[in-house]
Amino acid sequence: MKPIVYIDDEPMLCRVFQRILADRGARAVTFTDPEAALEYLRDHAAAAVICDYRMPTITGLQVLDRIPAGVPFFLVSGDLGITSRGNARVTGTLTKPFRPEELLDMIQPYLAIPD
Amino acid sequence: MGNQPSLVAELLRTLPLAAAMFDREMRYLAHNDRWLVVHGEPAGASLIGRSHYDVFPDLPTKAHVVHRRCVAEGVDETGVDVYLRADGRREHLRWRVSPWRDAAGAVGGLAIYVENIGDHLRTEARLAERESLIRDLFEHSPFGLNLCRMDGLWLESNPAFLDIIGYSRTEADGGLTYWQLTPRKYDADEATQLEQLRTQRRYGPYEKEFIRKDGRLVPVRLNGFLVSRDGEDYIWSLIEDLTAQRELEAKLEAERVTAIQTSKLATVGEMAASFAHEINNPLGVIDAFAFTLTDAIASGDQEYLDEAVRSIRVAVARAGKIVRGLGKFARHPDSDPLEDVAIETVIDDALDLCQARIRTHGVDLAIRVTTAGRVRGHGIELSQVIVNLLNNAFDAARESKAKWIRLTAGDGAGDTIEVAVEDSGAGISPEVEASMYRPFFTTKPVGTGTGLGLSISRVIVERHRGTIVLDRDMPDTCFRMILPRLP
Repeated sequence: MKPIVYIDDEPMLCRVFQRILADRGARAVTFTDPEAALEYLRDHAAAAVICDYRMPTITGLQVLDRIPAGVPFFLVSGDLGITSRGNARVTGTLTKPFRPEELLDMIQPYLAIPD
Repeated sequence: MGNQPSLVAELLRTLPLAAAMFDREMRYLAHNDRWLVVHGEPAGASLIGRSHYDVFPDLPTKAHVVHRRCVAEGVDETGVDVYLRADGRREHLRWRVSPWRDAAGAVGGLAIYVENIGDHLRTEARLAERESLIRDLFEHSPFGLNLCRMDGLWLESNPAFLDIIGYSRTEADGGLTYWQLTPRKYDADEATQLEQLRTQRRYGPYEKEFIRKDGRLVPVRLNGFLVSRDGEDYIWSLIEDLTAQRELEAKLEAERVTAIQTSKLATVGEMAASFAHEINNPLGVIDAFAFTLTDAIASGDQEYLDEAVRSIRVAVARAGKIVRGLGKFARHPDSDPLEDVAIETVIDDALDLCQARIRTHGVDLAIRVTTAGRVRGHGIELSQVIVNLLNNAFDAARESKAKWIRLTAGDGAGDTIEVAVEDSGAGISPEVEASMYRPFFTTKPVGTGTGLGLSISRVIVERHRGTIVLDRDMPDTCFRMILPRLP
């Protein structure tokens, strides 16, 4: 199964979404460091990437620029006024605070993609 | 007659008055030079043998009457007459007409003495005029004026002073003392002023209050000096009513507090996006962990349950800190009293608001506090200055390559505390420096800055008797807030 890659600089969010996705039978790989995630993505095909927009060293959209085309990309943003509208490569956005159900609904199609 | 005439002539010459002797028909028997001067006759002229009335045909009838009466009744008469001279001068002549008697005791004629008292009168008039000027000044002065004895008994008060204290002149002068109207809390200050009066013979400017007749306290400024009268010292005081000035100051202070509060709320508004971010993350953590609890309980995964509960509590604490910081920062100025506050607390309160935002955006924030010093002030206002400086540093640093901010606090020269905020930003041009303390001046994009940060910061720092400067001696952009340190 291809992994769901979850990137957020908040460790507690990484931890809990790993659990939630695992409970749904998905494979989740989480990163608090976007550079580590980019390195992982160079070697691994992901079913989807969920990425926070506001991170200390880099924004979510800058992460998007550096991952292979064709990988479904979901942007999570808490900043008012940040919008991904007009960026064709963003598959979907979630605005913080969001409910876990919203995230699950959105990535449902990618939970069980075979390798 | 022997040498009598020459004796008479000598007597006349040495008299400090104009004098002349006449026979009963008012013919001149003798006169001195002063007589000629007073009457405007050429010096050295002789009137002997001539009739007084021929010499002075314009002499008023009144004079004729006096002369006749004095000769007939043998009595003296005196008086003052005003003569208008040909050149327009007015002369005041005091005269005395005395009959002289021969050896048999009969009236032989008259002696007349004349003194020009014009100068004397003019001096008296000038004195009276000065006296009246000074009296007018005293009575109509907008400043209170008061003369008191060394024991504080009031002797003379002008209407302005009576207005200030609310007593009538009869109540105050000779009835009230300075000390009856002075609140006890000024005892120490009074001692200082008295000492100054003793050593320098003057006191003030001295600001205090008087207790008015209606019991109200009236703020005043006093200046005064010692005067001596008949070997005794008295105190003259000039008293200004400061009520209007105090009211104006209170109004300006209220306006400053309002401006500071408005700017604080504007700052909070500008930072709203980052506060949302800092609260959303903990909320998301809480919600997501709660979402997993049912399954974790069902499966009896105790280890995970412990972690979930711990994480939820950490998240609540983190969000609570932001909300508390915001509440503290934005609350009403009344709950930011004047107190002794540690500079470290001031900095911590500012960091509660700014730190997460700065670090979330990848700007390195180094903090070094090397003083445990305290300042007298409004803690939240001073935090606001640091927040403003950090926000400016943040906006500059995030655009730079190096992306760092350094906040240092330490003891400065001469009992001060210095808080410096440095950043890796592009720096401040001299043009910007010239305008940056002006209200509404901003270099930030439209809608992101009110342009009030530095102007309000300066108002706040100056209210705390400190200064805020751009330190050009530092290689990077460095703002320095310098405050008086409490001992």
